Amino acid sequence: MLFNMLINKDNIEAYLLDYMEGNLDPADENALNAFLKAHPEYAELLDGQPMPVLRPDKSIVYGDKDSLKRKTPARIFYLNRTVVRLAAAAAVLALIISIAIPFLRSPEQDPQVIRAHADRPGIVIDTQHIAPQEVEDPEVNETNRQQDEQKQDQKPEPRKQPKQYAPIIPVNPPQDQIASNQMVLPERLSRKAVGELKLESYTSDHQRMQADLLASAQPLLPEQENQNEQKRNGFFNTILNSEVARNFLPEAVQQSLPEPDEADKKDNGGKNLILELPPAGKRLIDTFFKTEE
Amino acid sequence: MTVEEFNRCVDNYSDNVFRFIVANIKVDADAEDVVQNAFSILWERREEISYDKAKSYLFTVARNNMIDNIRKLKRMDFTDTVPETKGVERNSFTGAGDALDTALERLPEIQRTVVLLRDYEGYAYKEIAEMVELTETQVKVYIFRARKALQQYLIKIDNVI
Repeated sequence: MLFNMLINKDNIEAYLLDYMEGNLDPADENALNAFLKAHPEYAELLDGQPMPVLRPDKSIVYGDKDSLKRKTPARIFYLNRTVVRLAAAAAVLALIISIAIPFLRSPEQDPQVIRAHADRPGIVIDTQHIAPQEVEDPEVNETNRQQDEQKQDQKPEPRKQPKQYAPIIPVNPPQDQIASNQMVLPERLSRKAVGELKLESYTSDHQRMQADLLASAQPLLPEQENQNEQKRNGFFNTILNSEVARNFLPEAVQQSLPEPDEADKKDNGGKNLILELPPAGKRLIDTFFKTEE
Repeated sequence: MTVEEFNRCVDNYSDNVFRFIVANIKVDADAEDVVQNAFSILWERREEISYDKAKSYLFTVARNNMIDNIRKLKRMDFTDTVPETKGVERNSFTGAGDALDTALERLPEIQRTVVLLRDYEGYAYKEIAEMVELTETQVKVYIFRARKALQQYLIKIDNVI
């Protein structure tokens, strides 16, 4: 009776299946027989007929198995967290150094660099030792050319040493000590000049910049009002030392400046700027470098 | 599961899953889509599914996908009742195999599924129960009913022939 209680109308077919497959133990078989006696309608299900079993058709196959397959993904190297942090720190340090290098060069290391500092209200350019512009003589040039041809046949000429120029005097000497062939550049460019030059650097329109500078009538750009001291000084140095920045000067000033020596270009990257200013050029550059009032 | 194990699953189980789906829906193109989808899902979950469980997982996913597709197409009746037989067309049978296929089509989906998993793949009742989310007793009941229905259908065919 205990077993009969386990078999009911909901699970009798499961017992019948196990019975037909020979999976019932004797106790369950007795319980099944007792249930079938009590419920003869279920005994009809055991009619002695064979139960069909399905067999798969092996001819049915999935055709394109390769389309389902995957390739081994490329190996991914996971970096240690410490290594990543060190690499990030090194990258930041390298970026800072690369930005700071132009501002860290001292006048002693590069005497041609003109620096304007907050504690130096003016900078004197000593034009006395600046090499005079060489005037080309057609006859001399022809002679030199012939000599050069002969030298080329003999042996290569030793490398020409760059000219040594007098250092810039980064002080503010008394007015009576400034010689007639020296000029005092302002400590920093006027905001207007900086603004216009910056604007021009964006547009590369030299003619417009020159016209605007000489007219001195254009207002400052708002974002240039807050240029900090370092940027102004750096820009100032760039103007005086860069061959490229020189092109931003008014044409009349440019014409007053000799071309940098080829050897200087090679040795110093063309950064040397030789100032030999005639009176007209001096007036123009005075106009150009207006001090802030 | 590694990529190599996944590809081994393709070699070993794609035909089995395909036959199982074809036996249910009889349309090869649809069955191919179901198999493809099942392996795509297995690939996405390869980190969670071990190689040992992959076969039953494929059958489960494929069956679920097949049911979704069929419900959309409304091709089948999913009630747990044997569809009413509308007479037997003698000319449509060429042998006991075809008769059995036709009888199989007439089974309710759950009965057909469990009997196919048992007979085609040899799964134990307990494994089938896990795959179709039923109890082992329920699986046995459905298989008994399926076999009985197939038996009765074949007897009818024999009587007609």
